[in-house]
Amino acid sequence: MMQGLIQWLQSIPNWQPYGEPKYFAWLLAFLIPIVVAMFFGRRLKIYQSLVSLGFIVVMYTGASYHQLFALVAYVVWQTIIVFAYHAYRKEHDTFPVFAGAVFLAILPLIFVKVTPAINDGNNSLLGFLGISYLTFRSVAMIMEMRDGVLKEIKLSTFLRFMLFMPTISSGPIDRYRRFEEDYDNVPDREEYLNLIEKAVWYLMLGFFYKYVLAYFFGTILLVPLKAQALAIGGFLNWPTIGVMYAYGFDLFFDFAGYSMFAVAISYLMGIKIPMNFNQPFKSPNIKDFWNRWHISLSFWFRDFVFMRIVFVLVKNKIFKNRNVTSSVAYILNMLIMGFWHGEYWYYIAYGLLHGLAMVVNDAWIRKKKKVNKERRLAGKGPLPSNKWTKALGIVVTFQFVMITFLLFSGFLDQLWFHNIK
Amino acid sequence: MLKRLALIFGPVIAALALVLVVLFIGPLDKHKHNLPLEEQAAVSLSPTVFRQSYLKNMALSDEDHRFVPFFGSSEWNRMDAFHPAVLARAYHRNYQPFLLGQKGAEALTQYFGMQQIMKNMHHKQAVFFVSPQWFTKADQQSAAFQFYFSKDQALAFLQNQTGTYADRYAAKRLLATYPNVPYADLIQKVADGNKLSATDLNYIRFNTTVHRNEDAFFSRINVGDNLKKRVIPKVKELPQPYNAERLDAKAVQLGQAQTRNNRFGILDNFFTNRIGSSFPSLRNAQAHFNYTQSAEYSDFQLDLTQLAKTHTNVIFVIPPVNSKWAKYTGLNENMYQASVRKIKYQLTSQGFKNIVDLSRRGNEPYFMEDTIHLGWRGWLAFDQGVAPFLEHKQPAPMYHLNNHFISHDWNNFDPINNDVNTFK
Repeated sequence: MMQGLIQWLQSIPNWQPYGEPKYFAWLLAFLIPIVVAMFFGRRLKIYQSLVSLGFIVVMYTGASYHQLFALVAYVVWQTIIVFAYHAYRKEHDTFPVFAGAVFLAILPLIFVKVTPAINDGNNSLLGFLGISYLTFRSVAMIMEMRDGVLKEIKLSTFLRFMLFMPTISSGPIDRYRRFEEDYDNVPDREEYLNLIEKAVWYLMLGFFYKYVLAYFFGTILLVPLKAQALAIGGFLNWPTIGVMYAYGFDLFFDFAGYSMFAVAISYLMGIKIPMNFNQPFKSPNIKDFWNRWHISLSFWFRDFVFMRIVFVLVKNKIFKNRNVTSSVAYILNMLIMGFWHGEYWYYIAYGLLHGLAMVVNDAWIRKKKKVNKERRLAGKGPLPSNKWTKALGIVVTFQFVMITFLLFSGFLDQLWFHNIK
Repeated sequence: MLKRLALIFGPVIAALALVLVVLFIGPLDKHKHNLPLEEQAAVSLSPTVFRQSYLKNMALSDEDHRFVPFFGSSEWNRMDAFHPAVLARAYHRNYQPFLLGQKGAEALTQYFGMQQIMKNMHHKQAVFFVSPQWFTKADQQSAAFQFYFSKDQALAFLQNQTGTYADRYAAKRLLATYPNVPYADLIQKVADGNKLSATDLNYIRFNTTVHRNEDAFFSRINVGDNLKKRVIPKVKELPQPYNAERLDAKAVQLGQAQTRNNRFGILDNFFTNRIGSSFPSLRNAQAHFNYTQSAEYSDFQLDLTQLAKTHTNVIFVIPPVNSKWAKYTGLNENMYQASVRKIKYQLTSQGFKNIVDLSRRGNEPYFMEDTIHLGWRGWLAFDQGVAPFLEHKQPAPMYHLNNHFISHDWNNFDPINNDVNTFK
């Protein structure tokens, strides 16, 4: 019977989320009843769950059918941990149990991320597309339960939240309480029309981003540039600079385009999933960049990593100076994000560089305040702060981000250490 | 409320409708002939022209200008002054070659390409340049095949096939060489010997319409500039009027001037750039090469089946290898001649009698441009064999196909130790 199931799964074509025009055609066709019902103030819970399930299954069919088993096992594992901790937390609240629950929740992800590094680049059997994003959701729940802000959870809502189809593969990362509120309430007609309007706009803009711009940068520009750069070789060359910008724009338009699809489909389902990007290349400084780039991830790290590190450092009075505290927390926070991307030197270096940039950014702001205070006492005006200084900030931030993206792309690893000419 | 809905969905619906209309109707000039574009496409050798059908069909269906399909592979890219495209142009022949072939293209690619131009091959002529190098033991063509394959080829094949033995074999080979091929489920049906349903055929027709219209929109965008850069300038180098002796002298003169840095008669920049530092390691490197047993023989039979189906009168050209170079690399001449015997037997025994066999002329000076490709006098020899065939009316051929040429028996038949004439 198991054999039959596997064969059946292998025989179904594999459809990656938002991968091709056909996917949109089918998905939107299946969404019509949901949209019509919601327009008339009803949520078709069972139908929506079935459609979601169907589209989740086809993500893991064909050659990657084993991922479906990994997903099922993973969801069972997370359900046990979250509900066990929930039961425990009603009566007690101790740090070791909390830490143990968080550890167990991220354990599968750790396995998946470490396996390629120690096993010759082979992927773990526990892995499946989207495991990181599911882990973010469950870990956030455990932490909010510990904080006491998340008190009641329902199994059905939990499963819908964890397996919310539009965002299952790559986010945006939602929060349980926000999701539950949207899910239990149907938006009124005026609000739903606004959502539909935005959904249409995001779908169209997403097409432009992902299938026009990302294709241009990622395929037409990037592929020949990489070949040229590798042919020249050495430490650095002009085509590598081209690779840097082409990759940076490809990364943005591809991921932002995908995020727009995810948000649009969520909106059609009446779920106001958070936005992931907000014109990141306009950021005048690195901190602002992280408020505009992969927002749901950086806010997740802010709330569940950075704040916790600061809290622990302050509570245990590790450093006297609060600037040192925040600097250490920034670096740890970004390093963890680097490790999360994968256990390769360039991801970790990417995290470290961004952590350092946050520290430098803070130091510069303090320095500027101090200088301005001295200048005021000396009867002089403050340092210039106008559109030119802002433009300078944008240029510097953009260049820094692009350099770190080049690192992030892994291309330097290939150029320096694996360039077979 | 309705107004709001109309404002939201109106533009999307209008855009969708517009796209559909455009895709269904296609460009308004899609049935028009455009001679400059046809001439450009004929020598462009771009992957798009080779993969898609629009430009091929436009040229081959032109009643005022006769384009003849030249099937082959990388040799078409050796565009010196004596290349067939240059000669046809310089001496105002009543035909122009439409070059169909690129590096790595082999019989299977040609088979699916022929599907696209089937209706323009009926009772017409063609040239087929068949290289023994295609007939390698291991199937090495997967990547190149996939690169040159297009949805349009799959659709044309699905429409043309009638479930014959060759059709089923072609479907199987297609699935084996390109497992994720578009329309794999329908091709599987053909491979299994199942008939396509009416729904399948409607689906195929629908997709063909849309696909051909897209092709008509986009194929003409980047046809390359081979005509302007590599053909027309060389036309001016040739003596006028046509004179075989003066042409030969010119070929010797140009060949001499361009082969100074090596003792193999190989074009200088080919020797420097393509052989270069790997030269020492190539000594005897080809001693184990074997073209006598290969799945390619069955693929080649598919081409012959298709040519017979369209009653195309086709002339085959079999090239030599550069003898001096073959000696250096250890390529076995006996083996090479045995593969030529096998190919020729497959042709002649089925009524394909027009063969220009150049395979023993690799030792003539300035015959080969590099290691395996014709150049200068080689092209002239090609022309002397092919041009009369194309210029003058030929008797209709009588083909009698033998399906046994699609078999392991034939693929594995050893022509070195066996007389090919014994194969039935």
